[in-house]
Amino acid sequence: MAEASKKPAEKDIWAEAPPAPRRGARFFVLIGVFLLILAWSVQGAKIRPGELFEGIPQIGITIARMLPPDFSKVTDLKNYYLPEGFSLVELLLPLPLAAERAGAKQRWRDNTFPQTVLGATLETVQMALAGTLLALLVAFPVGFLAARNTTPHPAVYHAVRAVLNFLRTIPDLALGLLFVAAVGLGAFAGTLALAIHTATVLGKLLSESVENIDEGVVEAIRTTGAGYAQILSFAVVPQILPDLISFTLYRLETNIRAASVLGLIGAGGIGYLMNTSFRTFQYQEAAAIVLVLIALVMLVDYLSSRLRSLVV
Amino acid sequence: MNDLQQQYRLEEVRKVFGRHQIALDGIDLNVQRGEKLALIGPSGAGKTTLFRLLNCTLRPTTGKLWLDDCDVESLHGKRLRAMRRQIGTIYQQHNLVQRLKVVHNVLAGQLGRWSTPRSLMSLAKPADLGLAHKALEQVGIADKIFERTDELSGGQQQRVAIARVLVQDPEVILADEPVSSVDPTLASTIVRLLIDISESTRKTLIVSLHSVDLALAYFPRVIGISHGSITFDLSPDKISEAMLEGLYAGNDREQPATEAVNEPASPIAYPSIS
Ligand SMILES: Nc1ncnc2c1ncn2[C@@H]1O[C@H](COP(=O)(O)OP(=O)(O)O)[C@@H](O)[C@H]1O
Ligand SMILES: [Mg+2]
Repeated sequence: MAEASKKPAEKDIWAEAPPAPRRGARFFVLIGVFLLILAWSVQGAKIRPGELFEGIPQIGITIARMLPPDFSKVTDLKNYYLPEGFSLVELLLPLPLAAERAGAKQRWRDNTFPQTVLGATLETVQMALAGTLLALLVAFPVGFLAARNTTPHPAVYHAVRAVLNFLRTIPDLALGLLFVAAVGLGAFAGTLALAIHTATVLGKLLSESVENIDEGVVEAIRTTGAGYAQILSFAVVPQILPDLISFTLYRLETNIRAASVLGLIGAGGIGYLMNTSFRTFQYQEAAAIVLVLIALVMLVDYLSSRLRSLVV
Repeated sequence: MNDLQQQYRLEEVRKVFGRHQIALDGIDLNVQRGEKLALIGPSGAGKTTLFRLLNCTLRPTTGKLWLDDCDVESLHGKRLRAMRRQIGTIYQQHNLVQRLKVVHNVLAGQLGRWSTPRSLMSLAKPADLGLAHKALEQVGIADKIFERTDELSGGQQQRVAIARVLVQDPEVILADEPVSSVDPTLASTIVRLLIDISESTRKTLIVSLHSVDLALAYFPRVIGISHGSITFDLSPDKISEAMLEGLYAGNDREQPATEAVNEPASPIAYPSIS
């Protein structure tokens, strides 16, 4: 069995070089097909430059309406509907409070705060972080199961790959709708959607990283008499660690964006507020939210690139 | 077990990769316990493949291989791992974990004895510093113990690999072209170090060498391999210039190794051996 699984690999590496590709008639047929597909898709996507041209002033008008951004929703305390008799410190930090006041604080934090710009922004960050970390917990073992050289059995390899490939085809918005139906509106649904989608992507990336390790190190550790878990922890994990960290940070950046879109379907995060502002023609307010979101994304990108350069 | 005289016995061992890539073509070989022998031969002759059979990484395609009078074909799982523990290998490309500190690479020699939790904890806090330090002292780089392995030179990395084998404390030491990437003075120092270790602890030592001179100077038994077969197996004083010429016919004698480092992946889990 071992021999059987080894053979294709040997053939791949030691096979003769493939014949040089032939240019000519095939090449022009391919170009023709490409142009046909392009024409077909442009027509189907209803791309009409005329309308875009006419629309340009309209874009200008909308942008003008957004100016200046109205930050009152972000900065004005009254928009946070603070419960009476609490100081900000008491509300935002986990301090011990009397039972009755603790209840009031809890209600505010659970129901009111997430509807405010600051609260929704924090919720977006929390969704992205929780979704990414949960995904990492799942993807870490899955990555080994789905790699040719570390899977416990070829059947496991094929099964895990099939599941990963299938789940990865479901867009995270579709997963979000599914979980909203299952667990109700709110951040939990969005976090689950992010976690599942991210787990499939990370699992796939990690398995590829595992397949690219230096096998010589594995061989050397194996000849000391090490078992499976020991080989993984001494020979494999140290080699994939840089990839593991940078893939995870990269997915965290992506998930901040994804989490802000999930609000459109009521799965938590700042997207919901943004959508409401646009729908109710509060363009200046929407502009402020968009700016907060841009600042957030830039901050996360910056922090994660700093972290990456520290560890990789 | 230790009073057995025979370490290795190979009968008609062949190794064929894929369908047609014949790496070893009928090897007969007896190695006594505590013997020191050198393998020489051109690149592609099958030396690395022979080592991978001797350390239970590969199984023969056909033929028999006995280790300690035990047929390796019958070995699986725990017993196979226990047997591997008795064979320490030093690789041409060192095969150290570059991103780990030297101490972890050295202590990896203990993996065959440690439980999994113990090995994991050792990655956080080295479990047997004294042992690692002693081994590194023996190879002369005790001061590098906490350095990251990829910061060491090629010669220093080779010493780390030797220290790992010292910690493993096996019955057999296999060294596959251990000195092909270091300068000639260092090369003979390292060969002498291996011989010292073998003599002081009565370990069997098998070394493949690019340099015929080193082989003839230090080893009482020298085996020539070309095209997957043994062409001679003699003490150095019986080896003639003509034999060496025949061995390397059509090949450059001192050419640097150009073999593929990029060997196909062998799954680490389901086949205990591949
Ligand atoms: N994993 C492998 N798969 C296919 N062919 C291999 C493999 N390892 C070695 N070979 C082939 O076997 C022959 C012997 O190689 P090797 O044992 O590395 O020789 P040496 O170490 O003496 O240079 C070579 O022709 C090589 O191409
Ligand atoms: Mg070789």
